[in-house]
Formats: sequence, C-alpha cells, structure tokens
Amino acid sequence: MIELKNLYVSYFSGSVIGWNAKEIKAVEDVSFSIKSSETVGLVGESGCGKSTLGKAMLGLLPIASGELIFEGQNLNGIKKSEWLPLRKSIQVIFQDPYSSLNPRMTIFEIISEGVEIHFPEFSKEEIIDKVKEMLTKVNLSVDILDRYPHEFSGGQRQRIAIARALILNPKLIICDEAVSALDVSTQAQVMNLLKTLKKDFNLSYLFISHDLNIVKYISDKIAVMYLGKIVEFGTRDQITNKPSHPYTKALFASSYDLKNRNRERPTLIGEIPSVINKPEACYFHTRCPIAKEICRTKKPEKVNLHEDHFTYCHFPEK
Amino acid sequence: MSKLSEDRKILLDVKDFSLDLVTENGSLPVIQDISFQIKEGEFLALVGESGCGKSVCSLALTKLLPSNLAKYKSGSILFQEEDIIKMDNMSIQKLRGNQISYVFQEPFSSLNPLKKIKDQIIEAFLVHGMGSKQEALDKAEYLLEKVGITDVKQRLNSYPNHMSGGMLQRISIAMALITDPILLIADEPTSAIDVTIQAQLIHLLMELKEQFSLSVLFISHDIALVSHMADRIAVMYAGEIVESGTIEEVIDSPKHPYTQALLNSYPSTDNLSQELEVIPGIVPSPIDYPIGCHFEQRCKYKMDICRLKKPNHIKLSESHSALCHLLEGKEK
Amino acid sequence: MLNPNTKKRIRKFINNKRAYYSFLFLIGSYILSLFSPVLMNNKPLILQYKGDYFFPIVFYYSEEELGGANRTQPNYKKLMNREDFVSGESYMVFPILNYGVNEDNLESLEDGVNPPSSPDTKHILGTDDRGRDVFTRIIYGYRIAMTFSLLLVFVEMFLAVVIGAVQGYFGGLLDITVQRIIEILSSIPFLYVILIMGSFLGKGFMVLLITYGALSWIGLSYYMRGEFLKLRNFQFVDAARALGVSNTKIIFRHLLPNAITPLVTFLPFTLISSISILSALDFLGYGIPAPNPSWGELIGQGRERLTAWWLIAFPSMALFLTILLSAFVGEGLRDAFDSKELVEYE
Repeated sequence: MIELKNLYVSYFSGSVIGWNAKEIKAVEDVSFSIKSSETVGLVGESGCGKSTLGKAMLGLLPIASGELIFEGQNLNGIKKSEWLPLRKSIQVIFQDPYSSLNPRMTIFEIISEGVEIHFPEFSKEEIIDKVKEMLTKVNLSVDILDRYPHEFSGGQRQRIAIARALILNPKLIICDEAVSALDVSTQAQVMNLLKTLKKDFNLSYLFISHDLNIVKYISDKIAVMYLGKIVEFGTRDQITNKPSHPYTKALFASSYDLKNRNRERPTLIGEIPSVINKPEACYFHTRCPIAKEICRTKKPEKVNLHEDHFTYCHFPEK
Repeated sequence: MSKLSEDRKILLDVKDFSLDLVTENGSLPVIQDISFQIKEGEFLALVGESGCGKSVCSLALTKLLPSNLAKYKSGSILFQEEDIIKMDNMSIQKLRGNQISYVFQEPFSSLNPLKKIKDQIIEAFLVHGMGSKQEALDKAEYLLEKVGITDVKQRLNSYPNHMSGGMLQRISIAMALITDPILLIADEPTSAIDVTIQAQLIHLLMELKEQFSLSVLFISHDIALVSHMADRIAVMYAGEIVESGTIEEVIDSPKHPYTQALLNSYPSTDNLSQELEVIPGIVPSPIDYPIGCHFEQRCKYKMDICRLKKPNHIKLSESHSALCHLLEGKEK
Repeated sequence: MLNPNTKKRIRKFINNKRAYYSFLFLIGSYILSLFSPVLMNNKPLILQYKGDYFFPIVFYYSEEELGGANRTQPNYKKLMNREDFVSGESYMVFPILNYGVNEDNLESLEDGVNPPSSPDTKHILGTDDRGRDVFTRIIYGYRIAMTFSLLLVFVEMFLAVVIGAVQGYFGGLLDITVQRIIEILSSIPFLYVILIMGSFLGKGFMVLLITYGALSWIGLSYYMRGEFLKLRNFQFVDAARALGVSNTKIIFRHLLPNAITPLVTFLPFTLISSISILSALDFLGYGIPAPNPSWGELIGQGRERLTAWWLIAFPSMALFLTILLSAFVGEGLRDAFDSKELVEYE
C-alpha cells in the first residue's frame, strides 16, 4: 500500500545561509513497504532517523531523493496542493500528549478541524455527530466537547489525538512514540485500543518506538534502524527469535523482560556516534562485537534472508 | 537478586511517614503512612506510575522540597538512627551530597551548562571539606575512569553541552560518588537514555554498588527494568506503598491486586497475542483520595470494607508485606 | 465558555486590589473624559427659545436664530444675561462645569488680574496663559492622550504580531532578512522622523499616529517572534500541518492565542510610554498642534512662566497618576499571567 524506495531525507543544522550549514543525512537509502492492515514497527535509538522518516512520510519534511509510493503515486516532488487530499489517508499520532493538543482549543474544535478542511460539505450537525461517534470509538464520553485539553489525563489526551486522526478515515496512521509518554497501565489501554481500531477500520500503522516490548507486542513486521539506515527488516517472529544483524541482537537483548530475568545480557561498548560524524563504511562497526576489517572499508550490501526478511551486513547470521 | 542476610544493619528506616504538599487546591496528602527500610549494601527499587508520589518521596528524604510548601505530618525518617525530619538545617546539609547522594533523571538539566565538568564534580568534595582541590581532582579522574569515560582529562575540561546523555549520566554518577556516600538515591536515572546505553549504565551501577558497598534507592516507573537488578522492590500507588518484598516475592507471586494488574499490563513474551490487562478507571488525584483503600475503585476484588476502611499492612513473610483487606488472616 | 485557564488569570488579577482598582479608575476616568463635551462646556446642553428646543453642544446655531443680530455663534454666557433668559421665558441648561476648552475667560477675571491666574474658587486649578480653565483642559487633554495611546497600542500590536509571527513561524531566510530590515528601521532617530513628517505633512493627530506607529512596533515584534519560535516546535503545530491546515490558519488560530502573554503584559507599559512621549512632544511643540488641549503643552506654558506653578504642577500630577496607575495594572497583569508560585528552600 505504501512503499519506500531508496529514500533519503536530510535537514540542515547551523546557520541557514551558506558557510556553517551542515547537511545531516537523517535517513539514508531506506526501502521497505507497509501493506494494508499491517503494523510495521520501527525501532532504533537516538540519531537513527525514525522520527524524521515518519515526518517525511507525512509530508512534513521534504524528501531529498528516492521514492515514496502511496497507492501507486510517487509522493516525492509533488506540490503542496497535491499533498492536501492525501492527508486524510495518512495521519499521525504524536508522542507528547501534553503538547500535541492545542491548549486553547476545545476538544470539539481539535477533533473537527480536519473534517472542516477535508469534508467541507458536511453540515455543522453532521460534524458534531461524527465527532461524537469518534469519541465513543475511543472510549471517551461524548460530553467533553466543550472541555479543554488540560482537564484530561495523558491517556485520555492520546485517545483524543487518536480520534482526531481517525475521523478522517485514514489508511495509514503513523504512531510516533504514541505511547512512550504514558504510564504502563495507560499504555496497555491505548495499545488495546489501537489493536481494536486496526481490526475495525482496516488500518495500517507505522509504529515508531524505542520500547522494544511494546513494539514486539503490536507489530506484524519490524524495521530496525541505526544512524539513518535500515539494518534489518523482517516479521516479528523473525526479528525477535532469529535476529540476523548484530545490532538487532544487542538491541533486543538490552530490553528488560519481566519473565525472562536471567537471560544473558551482552552489552555493547561505546557511545552511539553522532549523526554529524557518522563512521565510515558500516555505521555500526565502531560498536559491533563481530566487526572485521571489511566493515571499516566497504559498505554492507543487502542480504535477503527469507521472503520479507532482509538485512545489511557483511556477516549476517543465517 | 542476592540473598540478604538478616543481620545486615538497617541504614534507612522510614516509618509511617506522611507528607502534605500545599497547592492552590489546599494541603494535599501526597504521601500517606509509608514505611520501608534499606539495609547496608541493599538495592531497593521504589516503583510506581506517575503521580504516585515516588519522586516527592525521594526529595522528601533529605528535605529537598520547598519548606513553605512541604508539610511533614507524621512519621520518622531514620538515617543511621537519627531522624532526618527532626534535624536542623546544618546537620542535614552535612548529610546531603555527603553520605546521601542523588542522581537525577535529566542529565542535561541536572548539570550546569555554564561550568566545566571538573568544577562541578569536585564541588561536593570541597564543600564537605574532604580535602584539597588537588585531591578532589585526582579522585574525580579516578571515578571518571571507573564509570567508563575515555579521555578523562579532556572531558574534565569541557562543558556539558558537548556530550551525549549517556555520558552525562555517567558523569552524574561519578559526581554522586565523589564523597563516598553510603546511600545513593537515583531518581529515574535511565529514563531519558537510549536503550543500549541504559543497559550499559545499569551494568555500571551494579558494578559500582559492589565495589563501593553502596546502598541504592532506585526510583522508576519501569517495573520490568528494576526486576533485573533490585534486591527488594516497593510498589507505590496513590501515595501509599501497597506491596513490598524481594523480587521473587513481588514479581513472581504478587499479592496486591494492583501489583498483579500492573504486571499483567506489561507486554511480555507470554502474552504477545492476548489483550493486555487494562486497569479500568484512572489513578485518583490527591485532591480527593478516598478514605478507604486508594485502589478500591479500580480493583477486581473489591469488597465493601475496602471503601470504608484503610487496609492494614499485612506481613506475609519476613520480607514480604502488602496493604490489602483480602489478605487479612494470612499473616505469618 | 471561557477557557478555565483564562478564568483563573482574570480571577488572579481581580484579587490584586491595587491593580484592579487602578484598572477600574483608569477605565472609568477615560469613559468619563469621553463625555467631557457634555460635562464641561461653555455651550449649554439644551436651550429653549420661543418654544423651540436647541442643542448647542451638538449643532451650530447662529445668533440670528436665537434672536440676535450676528450670524456667528453666540456667546452663550453673555446670552444668559439677555432679558428673556433672565426672566425665565427662555432658559438654557449648562453642563456641570461651564468652561469651554478653548474659551478665554477674560471677563470672569477680576480687574487687574491677568491670565494666567492662580487657582481660586472659580477656576479650581487656575487658568492658562490664554485664560482657559486648566481643569477643563486637563480633562480634555486626558481624552486626547488616552485615545491616541490606545489607538497607537492597537496599531503597534497589530504590526508586531503580524511581522513577529511571520518571522517566528517561517524562520530561516525570511526571518533573517526581515530582522536586518528591522535593525535598519530601528536605527532611524525617532525624533527626527517626527520633525520631518511634521514639517512635510503638517502637524496633526493622524500624522503623529502614523509616524509613531510606523516605528514603535519594533520592540514588541521581538517578543512575538520569540514566542512564535518557541511555539512552532510544539507537536500540535505538526499535527495541524499533518491535517492539512493552512499556514495562515495555524498562525492565527493555533499559535496566536497561545502567544498573547507578551501582548497583554506589555499593553500597559506601551500605553505609558506612548503617553509620556506624546506629552514630551507636545512640550517641545512638535506634537498635537495648538489649540488642542494637551498636558505637555500646559507644562510648556509653565516653563515660560515659572511663577505660574499650577501650569506645571497639575498636568504633571495628572501625568504621574496615569503612569502610576497603568504601572500597577501592568504589574497585576504580569503577576496574573505568571504561572509559578513563590517557593522557599531550606
């Protein structure tokens, strides 16, 4: 349904004019696809570019090169006016429930704003009905239309954000750390809700998160990013039980599982390199436990392990 | 994870401690009758969700809360058998940063961006009169190596804004250790750090605890994380400690309904395909804490008495206790 | 339904007695001064002559229409002494204070006393160098000064918001370019521009307003730019863009209501500075032209006749009082918008 091909996204840091501007390649050569009714989890640590990728898929950041194909149409290079009708199909839920809702707007205004733009033919009463319908779907009371965001808890606000995205009937929702700022029990609520909505509305999710347990729980497929590149992509079971790339192994080994407490925990050495100064050749070689000479000199190529499971490594575990 | 010998000395003994915070909504009872102990060399995790009062508790232990807003209502905080609540300012200041050290959550805001690292690390050492500046610098170098910083001399002379979060947290840990504290209070030290770096920091903390014979009070919202490193764990809910015990007791056989529900709402390898357990309702706010059990409204097993009367602390074993009416009569 | 946050701020402001009463006094006195032609005038409110009713305050009547000889406007006070008014056949109702703003009360002075005259029972604050009642002139002057300042404040705020918002929201090259232009503008000496504009276009209320307004928004735009730079990083902005909301709508509907803090807290201080500068210009003679009443002009007269202390003292006190009360209001607003409590640590 949506396919990324060799996508590059950059942004500039430093002064806007000339001499000090540094181009930071936040996303490099990323290729994968998301099918209908599929959840792809996107994991990685700081500097991996997952948030930047999410924003580029929403049209909030310009694509430097490559293709972003949505339902047959390449979105790279289209004009802003052409993006507008697509916005109802690709929506977003952000991380911080405290800053993703405008504190000066009522709940009704927040949820209905998109409808007014994309479905101007609806009358006021129809819009109110639609908003109430959405609130019920996210398990919120319909009496809250005139209230303001700060009167609600983090979990409730995220549900309002979900209603805001859902009301446009999107095909793909990008969840950018959507549950990371919530308490565990609220996380569970929102996760269950996302799963239900996926079934009811035939949604696809790009679930960006740093919390591996959550990603394992909700994803059908998982993409692992490091410093802008995809290092491994596969189904949830493949990534969790048969990871191939050393970073994937280390990443999932460093998550804390409640039940398996006595598992081997290999830790990586060294800090995550800065995005400005990425290492040569394979970006991971500075911390990789099995790095060899070739990793310092030659960029790793794509290795297809199974159908829909690939990795970029010189020594992938098969 | 290690077995505790019962004849270790009790370092910190908090008994029936209650604290009110003054806000525009009046005086709110944010901590109610909590009790816990930390023995020498022990790692106690204080776990709870946001709003339960755990961060307030960590600051309250050495009276770091604003004095016009924090009212110490009852109970005692005995540190090496002296009650901190009753201490005067001078004595508490001798304690803070010296025998009790802190590591906080946000490395970028707990370190001063305008001062060099070396000036910040040695500050506590010099303030507590533990030696000369040169001795302080030597110790700082030693500790920075211990926490895994490379290029120590260069790091000492630089400013915090050039370093990553993980590195800054290591420096914060070194800073906390420079005065040879007995108790380290760490308030969510790894919550703002990347996962692989977090693993490194936890590993480091465990090593340092052994090497320096530290006791650690580790505050976190992530029960899965602490289950891998703590000796004992205390679960806080809405201002009260609802269950405490060893890791095996609390995680493998939790007795309080909240602990059970909390553990079940973590996605884990054995519930990947099921729905996560959701605790209905929301955490009560201190503005209107119920008079009975704080968890009653959301509890699966609630009884009438839960609404009317506060439960007692039921001692289920030498180390395991829980605050619940269901457990009446199961005392050992 | 008003945002609960706003309600809280209003409540906090009202609870600050000093600020609240200053605010009420300023508003009340301004509204009163707006009615000054009705309250203090040398023309009567209603005049009845030969059965007809006339309203000299609103309309122009010639002496002829009222039984006189000339076609000019009658001196109504003199008219009071005509037999038909004395006898009661016709009557006129004067406002509370029957001094006009431009009336030289030379006849009412005692013999031998020249204008300006010191305060006495007839003219409680004295008269100025043309015999005009000082009290009346102060009140009329207040009306002009406040109206000018309020208009100026709105012009200033409008320009500052638009320019600051565009700078802060779009950032980048646009921001830097506009910033350089602003720096050039802000180096233009203000007084010279006023003088030059005054001599080109003639002195007047509108000229002054436009010239002053064209330069005064600069300071406030820095604050608005800062607010917008901060606000555009909030996630609800990204969410709005992802919904497809246009940039204009984002600036005015989403960001502006969140950025009003500097606007509201600066309003009283902007008012103070514009009143002060207006008075200073009037004092120098470059402000609102004579014979319009103005505090600065009165003080200027006093400078030339230092023995006429009332010409300096009373307008200065009026100026001082206005500024003081506005400062209290400004302080109250700032405290109302301040979200932090005062804390003490041990």
